[in-house]
Amino acid sequence: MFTLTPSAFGGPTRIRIDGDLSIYQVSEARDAFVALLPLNADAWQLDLAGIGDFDSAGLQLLLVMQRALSQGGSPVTVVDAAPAVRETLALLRLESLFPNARIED
Amino acid sequence: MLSGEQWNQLLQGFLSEGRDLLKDAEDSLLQLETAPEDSDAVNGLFRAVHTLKGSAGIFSLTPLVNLTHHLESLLMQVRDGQRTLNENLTSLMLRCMDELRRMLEAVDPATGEMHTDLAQQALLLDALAQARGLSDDTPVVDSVPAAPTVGANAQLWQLSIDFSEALLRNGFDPAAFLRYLSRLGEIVTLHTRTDRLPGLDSFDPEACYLGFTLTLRSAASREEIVDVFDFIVDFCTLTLEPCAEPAPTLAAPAEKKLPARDRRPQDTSMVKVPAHKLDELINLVGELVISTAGAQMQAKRTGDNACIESALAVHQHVEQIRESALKLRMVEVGETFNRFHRVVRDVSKQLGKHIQLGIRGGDTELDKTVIDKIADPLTHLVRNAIDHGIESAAERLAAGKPAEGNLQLNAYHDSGMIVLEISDDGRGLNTARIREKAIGKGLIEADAVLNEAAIHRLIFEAGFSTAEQVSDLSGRGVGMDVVRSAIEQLRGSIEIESQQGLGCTFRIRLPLTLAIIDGFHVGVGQDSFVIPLDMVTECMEASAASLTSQYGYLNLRGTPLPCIALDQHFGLPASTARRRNIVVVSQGRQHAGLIVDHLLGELQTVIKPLGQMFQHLRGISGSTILGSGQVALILDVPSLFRQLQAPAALDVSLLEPLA
Repeated sequence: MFTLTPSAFGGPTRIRIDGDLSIYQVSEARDAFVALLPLNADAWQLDLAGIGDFDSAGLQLLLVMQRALSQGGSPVTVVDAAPAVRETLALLRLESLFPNARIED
Repeated sequence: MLSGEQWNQLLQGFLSEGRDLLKDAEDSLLQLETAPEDSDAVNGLFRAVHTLKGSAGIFSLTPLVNLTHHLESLLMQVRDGQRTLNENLTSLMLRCMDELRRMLEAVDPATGEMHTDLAQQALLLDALAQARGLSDDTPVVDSVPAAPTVGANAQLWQLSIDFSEALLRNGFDPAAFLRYLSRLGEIVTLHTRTDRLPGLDSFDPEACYLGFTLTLRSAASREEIVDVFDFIVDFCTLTLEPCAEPAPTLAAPAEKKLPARDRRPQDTSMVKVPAHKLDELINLVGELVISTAGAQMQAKRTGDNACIESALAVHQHVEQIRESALKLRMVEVGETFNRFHRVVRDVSKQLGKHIQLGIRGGDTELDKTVIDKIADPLTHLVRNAIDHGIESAAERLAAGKPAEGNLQLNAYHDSGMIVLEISDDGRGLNTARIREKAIGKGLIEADAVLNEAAIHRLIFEAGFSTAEQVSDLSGRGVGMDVVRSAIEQLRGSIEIESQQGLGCTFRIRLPLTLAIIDGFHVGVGQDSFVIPLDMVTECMEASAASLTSQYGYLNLRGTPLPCIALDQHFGLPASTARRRNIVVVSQGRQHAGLIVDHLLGELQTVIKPLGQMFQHLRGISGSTILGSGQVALILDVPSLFRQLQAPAALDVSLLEPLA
């Protein structure tokens, strides 16, 4: 589910999420994410391009993840997002939280 | 994580809930067929399918989720008015529900695995896709109805909604409501509140922490907007007020808080209890009744007034407990009746007949166990009535009847029994054919003399089928005898009232409950008998004249009353009592007198079924234990009536020759 690409030469650490992220998977996803957390990075990148199904539960998890990652003061950026993610973000008008996942009109 | 046992319980819960949901959905669908405008039925249908999908998802029953999902999408179109329910669509949905039911039955309750016939399902999915207009998402169509609503009299609404944490777990997605809301009008501003989201440590990924504040420009009324959230009244707090932007509207109430228990209050106040727990309770109450009777007798023996008084108080309370305990098991027969809408629809369609089903007395209550056991025999009788009873439209017209056949299901109470009637206005039983057939099958002798009612009763004999051609609905000849034995097992009886050419009525009489009855205690010599109190109409002293013959008749205020002396009937030592009594019992319109020695008064009777050895004993339906520890036999009045009639029927048939 989570693929971690550690930072190279002080660059951001990238977390890629693959597969569905909906009410059926969020519990498992949260546990997987908690397992990743002890890692530290200067900057984080979230790659959401591999997400399939996405709903409000998935969105909540993303928001919580984003907050948890940025707690240490490291910036979090979203590098890419799957259409389902973009659509939900646009619907809830939360694009601003994931600046890089903006929907191109 | 859940333990295996918990998981299993959840799964069981889901399976039983799923069956209920499918039934609800089917009821709503059939309701819609008669009243297409009924928005409650649409919502009910939608809610049922939606909930089923959600729960199936939790158990990863993918094929179930898949089919419900497509069904739901189709229903969504119906709900949004993009599609009207026609007969084909209804049939398709009914078939889907049948398939869903099969899937539920195919789920292994131990493992949660499901083996399904994917081919059948693929067929249905295809049909559903076709019904929806092939393309999965049809945004063009979707947006059309939305556009005109943002018209001249559109106004701005300020809407604030907070979802409860349980929302997601119940299979709802807040985003979906936004999507739906945007069909009503234009969402001008939207703020998704995420401030309730906790930190990762205390975050429950399946709880909902979201809330929306939005302004909506729409011509929809307050009700229409509130209705969007109708499904989740229990899971959200909603405030809705008009905004004074384009033109100040008339002062509407400033805030409408959705009352959480506005809809279906009866659902939320229900408690589901496993049936076996109820049975345990009722068994215990039964023992309590017996031991109270014992305690009361002992108290009387001591002659201590205080003791007698408290024993009496205990007795009264036990009586109340008994009554309310039995009421717990009572359910309305209407639910069982309603499922015949489907049976009638399917069967009449299959046979090309038009049949109207009427239901009366659906609120009559009956013991759950009895209802469960009577459902199949009832179905058989209903199918029979449609298949054999009601003629085809052409035949009906030729006979001068309206083309549409009438099938009536009635339920009512009568002397402590519940009566279920299945009547049709069809051709009635063909007495001559039944007789011919019975002779052919060797059930009766060719020269047997039987009156009409006796001939009609022959259809309950094993291996009897009167259909001209065996259809796949009935007429396999396995039915009616099974129906009769099922009813007799419930201590009930069935009678036929048929008029050639005019119709036929099957009348089933069943005891209200199987466990405890009010009884009337009588003594014959040294033996005790109990007569169900509801059947007792009066008691009187027996005159010497009425004691002369075994099946004597007595003059009761000018009408003859057949009498049975219990000691002779059961082969007991002849009574030596000088004064004897007669208990008049009745069933329906029939009356009879039972000659006994002593009248010992009312008592609560816990029915203990007779053992295997005594199963075929006639005239006795069970036994009970008296306060003294003595065993008393419970009289089976209906079977006594039958025995009374048997010789009488012969006499009558001798007097009037058969037509």
